[in-house]
Amino acid sequence: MVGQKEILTAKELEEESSEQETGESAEHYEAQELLKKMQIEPDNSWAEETKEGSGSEEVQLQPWMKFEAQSLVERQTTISSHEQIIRTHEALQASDLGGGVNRVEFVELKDDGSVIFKPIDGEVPIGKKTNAHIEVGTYYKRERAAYLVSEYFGFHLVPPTIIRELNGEIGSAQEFIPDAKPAYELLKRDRSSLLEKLNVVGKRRDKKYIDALNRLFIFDHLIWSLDRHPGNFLLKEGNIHAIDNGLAFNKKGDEEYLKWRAHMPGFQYTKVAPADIVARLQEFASRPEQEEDIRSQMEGLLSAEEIDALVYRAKEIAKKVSENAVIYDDLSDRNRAAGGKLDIKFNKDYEG
Amino acid sequence: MKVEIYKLNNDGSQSVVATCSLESDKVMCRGDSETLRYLEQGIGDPETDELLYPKDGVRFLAVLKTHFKSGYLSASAILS
Repeated sequence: MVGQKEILTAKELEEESSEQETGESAEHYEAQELLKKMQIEPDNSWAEETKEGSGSEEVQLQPWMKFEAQSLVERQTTISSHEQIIRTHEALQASDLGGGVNRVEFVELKDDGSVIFKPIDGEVPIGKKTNAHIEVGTYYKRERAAYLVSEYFGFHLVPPTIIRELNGEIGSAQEFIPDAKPAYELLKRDRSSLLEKLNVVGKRRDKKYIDALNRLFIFDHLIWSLDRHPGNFLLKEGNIHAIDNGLAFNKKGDEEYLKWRAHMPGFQYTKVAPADIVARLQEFASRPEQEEDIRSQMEGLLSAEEIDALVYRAKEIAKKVSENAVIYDDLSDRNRAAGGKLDIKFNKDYEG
Repeated sequence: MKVEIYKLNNDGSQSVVATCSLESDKVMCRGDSETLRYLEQGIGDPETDELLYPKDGVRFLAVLKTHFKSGYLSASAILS
């Protein structure tokens, strides 16, 4: 385990500082002074956030949340052999990954691979403004919901994710992808887009990344992820793996969402929608029984309001990609249509 | 005051890919070039919806842990 030693939360800093009025070390004194300075600044939200998100603060979960978690483990229906492995194989060694906010563990499974485990008890509030509507104690369910949506609509972006009990705790367990690189490793020095960079590289594998990035954009719109950035999607052999979906299915409005996404360094929108995704969304929009399917899959994972919002977005995106998307089978055709640049933004209609 | 950023290896061990330290009022980051380049481009603050840069000092340090929380990449809390 790395990073557990010497961790000093803002609260501890305050305590230590008050104990050493006479000044035991220059370093501690400086920290105290800095803390005081930050606390009197008009915008000191970082300090509150540090306290909340230090990982050492206990967050009291509602008792029913634990019962609900147990119930989800028991009535969960797995849809693939990968899920079944994650669900049933015995956990061997587990290591706390020592992050500063929510608790995350790497757990090796007997005979087959490893998982990233995020226990419900390790959840802490993250981003009071952006994620105000997302209750602590629901992140693990959103991880599972994102996986199910990814599979249901044919995106295949999220590694198999289930809810299970490991070492006495319930949380999300997601298949670990070995040898994957965070997307930011392919960013250029300036803010030019990842798409452009990949297009310049021009390998077949990288062309697959372009298609996968298009999928990721639509997928994130569908699951209303405000938290995607080049540090939490992975690249490996032409595939993208969308991880860290615990803050998805947010309820913030379109305008805020697009503003946030515009901040993502090196990531811009494309209007080229993958044909299979367009077809799948159109099929969904035209067949009422599929709405019932997805509602049924999301039951217990998301609130009724969040499920309504998901269904609404799926229909709206289906409509918009049908009206606006330019779909080409061949990358060179797509590139020509985009005026030689694949990283153009969605037009106004799509963005709105 | 510093924050360490860890990358997860296949065997579950972790390596430090960058260390960001407060020096005067600014943050200095040291580590592998890809991670440094990424950090220089700014990190989104979920609290305020703004991008924070190393020049923003402690606020930049504090936001790292909310950004790198996937497990594949993890940032520590602020260390002494």
